[in-house]
Amino acid sequence: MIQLLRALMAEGMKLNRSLVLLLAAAPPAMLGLMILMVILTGNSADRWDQMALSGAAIWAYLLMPLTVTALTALMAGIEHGCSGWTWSLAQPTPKVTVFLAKALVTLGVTALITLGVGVSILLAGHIALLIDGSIVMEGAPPYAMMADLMAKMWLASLLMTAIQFTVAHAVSNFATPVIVGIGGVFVSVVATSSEYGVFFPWLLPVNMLASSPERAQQALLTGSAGGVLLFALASIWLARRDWR
Amino acid sequence: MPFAIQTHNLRRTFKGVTAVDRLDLSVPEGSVFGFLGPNGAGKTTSIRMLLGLIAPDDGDIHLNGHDLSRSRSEALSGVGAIVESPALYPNLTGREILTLAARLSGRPVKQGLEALERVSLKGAMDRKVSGYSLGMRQRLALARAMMGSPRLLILDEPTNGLDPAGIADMRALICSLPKTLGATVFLSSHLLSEIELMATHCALLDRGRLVFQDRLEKLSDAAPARLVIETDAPDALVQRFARQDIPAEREQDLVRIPLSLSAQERQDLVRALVQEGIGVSGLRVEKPTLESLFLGLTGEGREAKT
Repeated sequence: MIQLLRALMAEGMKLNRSLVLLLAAAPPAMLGLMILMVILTGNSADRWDQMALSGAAIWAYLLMPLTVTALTALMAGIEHGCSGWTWSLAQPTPKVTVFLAKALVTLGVTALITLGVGVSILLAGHIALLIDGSIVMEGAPPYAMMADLMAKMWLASLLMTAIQFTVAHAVSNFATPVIVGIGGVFVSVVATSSEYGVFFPWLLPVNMLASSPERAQQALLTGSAGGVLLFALASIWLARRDWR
Repeated sequence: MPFAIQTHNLRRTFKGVTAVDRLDLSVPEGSVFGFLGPNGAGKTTSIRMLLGLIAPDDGDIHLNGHDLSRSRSEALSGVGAIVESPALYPNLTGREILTLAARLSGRPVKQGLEALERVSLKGAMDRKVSGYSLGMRQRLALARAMMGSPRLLILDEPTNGLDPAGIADMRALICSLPKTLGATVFLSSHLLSEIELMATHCALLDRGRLVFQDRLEKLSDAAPARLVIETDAPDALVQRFARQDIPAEREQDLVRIPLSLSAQERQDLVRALVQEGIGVSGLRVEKPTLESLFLGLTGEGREAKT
């Protein structure tokens, strides 16, 4: 346990001044700004809950898979770029602990970004009301609903994150995980209406908005349990493979 | 004799190609051990196996007496290493790199600063590594490897890419390590001249197989240095040496003989040759090359950089 904590601290330090932090700030800022513009131009729903759901849908359907793709590729690139593996995996710390720490840091960053997105969506509504007093938003800001929804979207995204994490760490080039991620988003467009879409990793977060509670529950279970399982298996596999 | 590194029957193949073949290394504690071989001989694969980055197909590895496969943490806890490139995170400063290493290993951060001082990088410790020269990066990587005074340092081609001044600095630093740290240094290189300047012991790897392993001075027995005489009468000179039972080889106007003469004897030889009417336009000592060592040790040549 102490080794995992040390590895977590080390992995956290590696992010100092890296592009990962810039990337983490971008989705909340971009989505918040976009929603603000939509509200100010009168194109938004006039209810708080509907406005929040639209923002969450954009996040889950498009921005989250792309963010996870870029984030995991960048984080793995920290090691690939400078042959850092030859140092970090030649330490007395068990290799599986190193990869578990990397997985936990990745999940921590995606959780922070998801939280940031939830906050920025609601903040955009408040700022719009402050800027233009003539705008009316019915109902109360749905803080509890957004917290619940964002948490579920994050949990449902674990399987997709685990896939991107594994590919990004196993392959040393930047293009492969990006192609996998873009491919996932692309296939999502087609698979959305399919009954099997509930099993497609890149569609699991957006299924948290499904009108059928069973479908949402199924997606949540597939994404979270599948993600935890794949993260564990990937950590073991990455620790056992050759690092040439 | 205690050994810092011992491998037995170490073997690794990649897609049917044998990279390391039945490698039995014995690196004495306290030595500067040169691991010599041409590019592609299997040096880096061997080093990656020593550090647990690659699993061997067969054989076992003991580092400081600990079996790497059974007690990985204990085996690697007394080891510092640089493999190929310095492997430093460019977004971090020198101080952060060592703090990170200290945090991961549970060592006091103070040890990192001491290591920085040892490699004369304290003045640059708050600069980002991306702004470091290659020489500074190599020194920082060495400082990180030296943290906590490891009993064994494994350095893979540590002077690669450095300018002459950087090579001299790195060489002096490496040579001082057994004294200052009490560490064994295992050093790989494809340059015989480099190993000669630093090592006390050496091993020679050829196509994954060990062809020599002993004290450095024993290496010269395999391919002794020769005296090269440039003359206007090479045939006469060869005949003269034959009469004295000195084996001589002729190559155009050059005649090579084993270097068994002292400086005084060489002066006397030149004087005698001139008196005998054999003109001498040049005289030099030719050191063995990696190629000639392979010839001497295996009886066959191979392409090698020297």
